[in-house]
Amino acid sequence: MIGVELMKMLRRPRTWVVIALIDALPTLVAFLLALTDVGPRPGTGPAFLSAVLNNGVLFPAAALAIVLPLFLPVSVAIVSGDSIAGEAQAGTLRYLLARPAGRTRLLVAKLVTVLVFVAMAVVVVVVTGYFVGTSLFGTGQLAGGNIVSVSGEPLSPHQAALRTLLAMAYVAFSMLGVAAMAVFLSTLTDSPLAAAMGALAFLVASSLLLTLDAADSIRPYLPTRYWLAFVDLFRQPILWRDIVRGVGLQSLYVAVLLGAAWANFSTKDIKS
Amino acid sequence: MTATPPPSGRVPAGPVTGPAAIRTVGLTKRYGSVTAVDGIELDVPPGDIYGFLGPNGSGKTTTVRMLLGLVLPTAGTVEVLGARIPKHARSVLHRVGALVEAPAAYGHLGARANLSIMDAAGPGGSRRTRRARIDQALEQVGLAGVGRRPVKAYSLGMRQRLGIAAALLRKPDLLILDEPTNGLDPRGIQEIRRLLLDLNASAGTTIFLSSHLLAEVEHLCKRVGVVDRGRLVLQDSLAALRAPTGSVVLRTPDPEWAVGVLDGDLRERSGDRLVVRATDPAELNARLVGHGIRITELTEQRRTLEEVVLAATTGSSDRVDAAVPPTVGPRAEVLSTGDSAWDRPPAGPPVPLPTRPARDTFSWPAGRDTPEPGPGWQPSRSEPARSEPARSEPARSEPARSEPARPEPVRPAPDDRRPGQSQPGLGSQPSRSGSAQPPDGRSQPGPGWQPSPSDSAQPPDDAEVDPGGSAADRAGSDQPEARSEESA
Repeated sequence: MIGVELMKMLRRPRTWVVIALIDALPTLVAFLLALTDVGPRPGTGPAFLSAVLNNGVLFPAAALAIVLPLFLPVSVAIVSGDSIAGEAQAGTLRYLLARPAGRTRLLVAKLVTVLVFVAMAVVVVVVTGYFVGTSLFGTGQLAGGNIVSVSGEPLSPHQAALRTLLAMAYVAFSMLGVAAMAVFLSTLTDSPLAAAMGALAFLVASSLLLTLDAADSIRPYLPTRYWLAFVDLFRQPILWRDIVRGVGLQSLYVAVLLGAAWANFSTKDIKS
Repeated sequence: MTATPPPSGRVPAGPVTGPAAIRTVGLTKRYGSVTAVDGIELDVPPGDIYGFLGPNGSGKTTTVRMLLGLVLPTAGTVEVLGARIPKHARSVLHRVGALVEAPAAYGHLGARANLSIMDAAGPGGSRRTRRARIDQALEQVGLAGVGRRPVKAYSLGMRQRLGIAAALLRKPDLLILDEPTNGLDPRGIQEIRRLLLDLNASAGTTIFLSSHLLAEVEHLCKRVGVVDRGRLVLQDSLAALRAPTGSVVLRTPDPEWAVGVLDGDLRERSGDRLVVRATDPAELNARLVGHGIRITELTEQRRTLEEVVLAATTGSSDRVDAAVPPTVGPRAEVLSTGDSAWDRPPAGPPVPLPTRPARDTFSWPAGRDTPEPGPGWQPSRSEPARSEPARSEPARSEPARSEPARPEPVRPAPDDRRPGQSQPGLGSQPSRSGSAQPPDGRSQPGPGWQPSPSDSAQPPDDAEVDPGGSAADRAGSDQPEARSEESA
């Protein structure tokens, strides 16, 4: 079943279009930076961008920071919102369940598919980021190949690679909260668009509340609160506190929302 | 005479023994305060072709969905092929092929990819045989040469065929089909009908056909269940439902003489068309001819499935009238359409007899009017078996021929027969064996009483079937194909 769902996702042109679009933005940023050589002042703009001009090896991390706030969650919401509602809208859900695929199995397969999609998107962004970054900005040979970490200490290329991998994992994990929300909504409605939009509304609300001082007391529980904590992976030494909290918070959201999705889907009357 | 199942010959070849193909007990579904399905008790024996009829919105689709575990019943139980649904759905639903409402497929993929995905999505579809099974199913529905064209470029009829192919993919023991001929042209409808009849006859596939197309059910099914406003109002064999009305419709170029001869037996006259109270068409024919009256057409009047269904149901729930619930409106609407229109005289004070002569009764080809007593039909009713085979025929029109000695069941005094619109409900349907018979249109006979496929599963189309044989004829045309596919 999981194999079937993966094949369905991979054979769908939309998957690749979305990934290409996600990838296009950081690439565009890289070209603009390289052409103008005007980076944002340190401390402003997307993370790492000011450092990238000196060393392209950091560009994968910068690319992640660029797609993280909007592009990645939008694509994840679209793909996850489509998971059940898309089948319902196409009418194939009733045939899958009458096959019988099994409701829980189908849901698990859809979740795995979403996970794979997130992983693919992140990997593609990082890999393209690496090639674009190193070819446009060089590998920082002038500075001895070392990378300047966010806290100012140098990082060896080996360390940088390891931390980029960690950052990829963390960013992918951060997307799971959105994915779970969209999958849950997807079991509620027969409209994939409604499910995706609902999940995005959830994110926008969270981002908005983060900026509001009056929402200070609930801030630690907002799903997007620790998203950018992956920057801490590039400190020397790594600042784990927010990352651990971020993982914990996302796990909580994922557990609750997927539980709700399962409870709803396994007892739902399929009328689509 | 009791309704004993015949000792042999009823059971078609194939896996038809064992528990009922479908059995529901007190099946109920409520959506809030709306009761969509109300205590339905379906009983579909294996090997049957069962027509599930009802107006739009009467709960057909909800019932079908409950059979497949898509909608969970509020109360009652569902057993499909002996297993409880939805609890044991996984162990049994892969033996069920289903078409629920419209077919559905992934538009960007081709037919084979779609079938492959569906086959891989559940148990019971061996990967080793998948390609061969897909090819065979596409062949069966007439899509063998469809290639890689994405489904979104398909016509409605092609999608329908693909949906049927998906249902056939694992050679199911039970086919649950909701409007299977939707979107097909007449030739396609006939092909699918033949395919279904063939599957039923050769593999013993049980077919549960949900439809509001009466003609389709009339052509295919042996048994019929009629659902109305969520209740099963009727479950009986088609032959039993299509009882004669005790009248004979005839046309004669000498209507005046005929009226004189017939005297009090005349029920209705419009031009040269007379409706005559008569229990034995042959006798009537002889009588008229004996008086020198020429007969151009003589038909035993028989309740059509349409009349049975309209009598049993209350109205379309998709019709929304302003005030009084329309119990008559939709009926009149339906009755006035199609070929029954000629049948009715211009509106007059007495409600015209809405029956039209059954298409099958005008005359009988050689070999048909003598009942096949053998493995075929055993009437469950208390009437002589020899009068039966005529009933078991689906509607058909045959070349004209006079009726020599076709035995007719004894009719009661004809006065109590007023079929059609004036029927208040089931109880008043004329039972076809007349006075000897309680009016039990509702009663459920024992399990073994439908006609065997060799008898009643006639190919529906008139043109292509020579009157001599039914099953044999089909075997001649379709079977070899099927066989070679199976061996493939």
